[in-house]
Amino acid sequence: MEMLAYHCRLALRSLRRDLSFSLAMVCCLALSSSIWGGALAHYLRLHESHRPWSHQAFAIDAQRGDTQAAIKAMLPGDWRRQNIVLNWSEYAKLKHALACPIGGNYRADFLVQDQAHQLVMARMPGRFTDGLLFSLFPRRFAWGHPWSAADEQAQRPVVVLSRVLNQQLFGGANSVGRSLNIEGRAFRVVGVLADHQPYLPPWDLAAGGADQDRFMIPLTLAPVLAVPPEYETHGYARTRSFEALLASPKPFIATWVQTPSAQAVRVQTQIEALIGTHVLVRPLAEHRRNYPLPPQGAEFFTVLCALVILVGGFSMTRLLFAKSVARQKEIGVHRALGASRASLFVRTMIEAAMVALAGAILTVPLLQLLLWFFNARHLTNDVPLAFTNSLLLAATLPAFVVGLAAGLYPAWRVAHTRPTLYLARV
Amino acid sequence: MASELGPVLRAITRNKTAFLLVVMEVAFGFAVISSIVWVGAWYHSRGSADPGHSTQGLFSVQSLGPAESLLQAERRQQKELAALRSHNAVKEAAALSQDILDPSWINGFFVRRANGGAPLMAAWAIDGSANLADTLALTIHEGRAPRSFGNEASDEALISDNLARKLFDNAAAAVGQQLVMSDESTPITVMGVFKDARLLIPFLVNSDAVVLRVRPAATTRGSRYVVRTHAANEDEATAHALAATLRHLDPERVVVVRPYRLDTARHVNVSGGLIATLGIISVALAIVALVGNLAITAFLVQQRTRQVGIRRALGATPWDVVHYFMIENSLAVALGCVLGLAISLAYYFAFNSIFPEIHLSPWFFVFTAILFFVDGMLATLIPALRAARIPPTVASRSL
Amino acid sequence: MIHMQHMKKVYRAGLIETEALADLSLHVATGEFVAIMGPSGSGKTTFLNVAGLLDTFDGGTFTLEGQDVRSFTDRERTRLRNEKIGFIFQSFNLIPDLDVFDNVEVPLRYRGLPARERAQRVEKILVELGLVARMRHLPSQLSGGQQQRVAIARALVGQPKLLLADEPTGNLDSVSARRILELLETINTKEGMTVVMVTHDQEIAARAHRRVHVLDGRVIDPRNQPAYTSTSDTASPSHLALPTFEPEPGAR
Repeated sequence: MEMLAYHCRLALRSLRRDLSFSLAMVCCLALSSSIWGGALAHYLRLHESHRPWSHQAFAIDAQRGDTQAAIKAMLPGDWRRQNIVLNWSEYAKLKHALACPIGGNYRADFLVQDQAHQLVMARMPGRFTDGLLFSLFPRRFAWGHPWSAADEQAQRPVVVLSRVLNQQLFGGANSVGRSLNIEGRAFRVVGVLADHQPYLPPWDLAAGGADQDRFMIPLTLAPVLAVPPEYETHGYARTRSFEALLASPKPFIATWVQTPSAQAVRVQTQIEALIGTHVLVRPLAEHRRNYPLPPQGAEFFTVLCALVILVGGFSMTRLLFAKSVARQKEIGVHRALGASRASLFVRTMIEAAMVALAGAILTVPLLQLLLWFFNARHLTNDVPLAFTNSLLLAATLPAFVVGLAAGLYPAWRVAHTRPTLYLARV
Repeated sequence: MASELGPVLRAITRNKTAFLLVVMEVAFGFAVISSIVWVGAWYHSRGSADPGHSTQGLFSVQSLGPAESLLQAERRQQKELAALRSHNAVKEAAALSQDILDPSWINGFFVRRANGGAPLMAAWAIDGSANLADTLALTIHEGRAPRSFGNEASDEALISDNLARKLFDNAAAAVGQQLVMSDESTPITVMGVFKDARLLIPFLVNSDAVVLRVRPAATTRGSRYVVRTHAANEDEATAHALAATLRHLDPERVVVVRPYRLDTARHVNVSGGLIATLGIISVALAIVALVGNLAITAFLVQQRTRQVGIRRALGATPWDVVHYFMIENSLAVALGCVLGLAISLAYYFAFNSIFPEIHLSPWFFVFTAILFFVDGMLATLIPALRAARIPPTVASRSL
Repeated sequence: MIHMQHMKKVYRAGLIETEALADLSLHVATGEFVAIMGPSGSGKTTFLNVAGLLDTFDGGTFTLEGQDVRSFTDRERTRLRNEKIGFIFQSFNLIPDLDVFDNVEVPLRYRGLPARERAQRVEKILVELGLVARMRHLPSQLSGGQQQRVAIARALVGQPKLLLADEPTGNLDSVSARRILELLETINTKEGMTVVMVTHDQEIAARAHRRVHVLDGRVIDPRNQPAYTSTSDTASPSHLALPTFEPEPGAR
């Protein structure tokens, strides 16, 4: 232990002596790992696991052969997942006749005005949803609560605001009880969500990473407001009116059933009997495995930035190597005085570890700066890139590991060069 | 040069590790920067290319209200369009289904030739009045503009040159042909092919495969127009005048008028931001490479102080000394670039599906190689110049 | 102490082989003070490297204190070097980051001695060499003579049996050089430590008990080498005055 402390002291002195070298190593490592962290932030946001959802949440995945074959593997993006949702009549039948609770949702663009009828946004993304969504995918409420089943049945104009919209309209204050104009109708705020929406909300089977929903309103209001879904669905004739859309086979409602796992197969059979379409009823995890996101920019950048951190590692190896060669004579003296190979190896590795640690620490503010830039520019969508614990770990740990790995070769070289070579008379 | 090569090669053999470290770093750096260069160049070719239309005096106008029947909406659109056209500031106005100022991503479709045989293509369809191409000032270089007038649906369409070539080999062959789009079963007829127009959304696939269909573009909740005015700039007074024209028809309507300038589009901002990010990565990487390079060259120079002294004593000029180190560094950079090229190509093929429209140009690699050579030269120059100042007496002092 | 028989050491650089030691045989008895002499490139330093277990050899036998070191692993050689051998270099080779105390302490650190014992030993040797006042100075703050005394303190602190000195006075002025030589003589006579010193200076070598001449990697008799003359081996110093070092002014 004492020897270790001694090595640390010597390593620290060595770093202080060649301060410009040490700073260069730390900066190389921190720069490259913060770049890596920035790419990773986006990747993790894409693949993060969200708040736990109910084990009883099962997606209804309609297996329509007509469009799947044509669209499959045509383009990157989320298009081929759009047709796995249900059409209005299928959804309505299940809602009416299925024994277990069922919840549908779809996203649309709304005309939103404030109480004074001043335009807030001409096409604001919002979501029609059944209240069941709040129990299948529990979300934290800053104020208020979801609407009630009675609200839903009575088609009351009630709205749950996102954190973003509450911030925009009410400065982030408690807005429960206040009202908002959606599609020309006054809606009463019943709840305000506390957190941002996940990048890929699990309840939206066709989600591809668009801006987060600014609010949620009961799906029972869809026929009243007559706001069509955000996306035109491919392979179906365009409809002339919202009524026609509801009557058409055009699927646009992501639908969930609440059922114990053991009952899922039975529920699947019941659904098929009711709507006459082949469906798969499966838990979300399985569903996601079956519809993995196609390769996206995130992967491209992540691999690219992994190369950047490698370059940082090489740079550090070069600097450590140059330093170790410049110090050959001193190392020779240590060897002559009885330092073993192992102790010199350990000392160089400690030096590398100190640089790696400093690099990892400096990564944090640099990464925060980069995330700030990303969030300020609203790159990709408006879900902010968060500096989470997993990101902290995933960005700094590789910096540390790469830093250590960068020290391996110089340390090995220090330990294995013959001491006589260092001691040439000058 | 050739006479220098022998000693340089022997010096490299003596300092194999230092040399290899430079090669590896350049190789990985080359792979990253050349990838950034090809994405950047692609973006630049999208973003800065002639969009085929001028935005001078061009406004995007939206008229919105609570849902109504499509029939009502179409009647309203006809009235609004007529009102806009009759305004004395307006040169031309057309209805359209979507434009890139939309904050949400626009809709894409699939298109194929009606007589089969050709591939299913992804394309971006914009429905609009027959004068849409005129209003946007597109250049129709094959065929002609649709003849249908008013706001009636017709089977007539214009397609972009890019799409025409993808579906029919050449633009002239496309005229008169029929296409089937994924959202309707009746075929449309290609009346003409317009040149170089594309949706200016750089990171959008097939953004230059565009179909303009003559269709009533009204939705149950409102209409969207593109208006060409006489205004030299897209000034606020004109915008107010356009909004007032529509509000005069129905004071309850929400009217949004925005200049049709690209820099206001969300997509453009996002793409620009991503490019800025790529730029940050490149600069960071260049700094990292420069620092590493500087250190290793400084070290090599320090190692050879005596040798440089001897060379100076034997009559080498300072330039000879600089030259010597430059050759050594250039060899490492050259080898690194070759290795980097291999990594870069592997990377390109692995991620080709994300940017299917990127075509590799040797210039991307030439540019990256030059960058690394300059980087290497800069890193070598400082220590080499210092070495060149080593007095010949160093040699005698050390003997 | 040192018993070398037909030692060989060849350096290879690519296809070129240089025979640094060719059939070198030498016996150094315990307590002897031997000067190794020879012109540049004669193999003096190679001999010192091999004798100090810093380098391996290619042929012959070498026993150090009766132990055949040929089959020793690097670890064993390192331990032996640390415990039995002290080194003094021409350019002192003090570690620039460490102050006098820490420099002297280095061999004891590698031996794994407890802190208290290390401190006692270091202080004792610094007192003996009159360096106590400089204990917390960095090498850069010392004169050449002082630096070499620190190097000697570092070589002696581990109480080695063998002291190997490579041109110990080469970088010193004549006054400092004389003092260092006197110190080495005292160590040899008082402590009975074996001292092997490499030098090319006839005058300095004259102070040793015995002079060994090396040429082309082997021990030679200088009388048979007309090109290389030396003073008589029988010449010995008239008197070895005990060196005295006044404590230097200045606080510790």
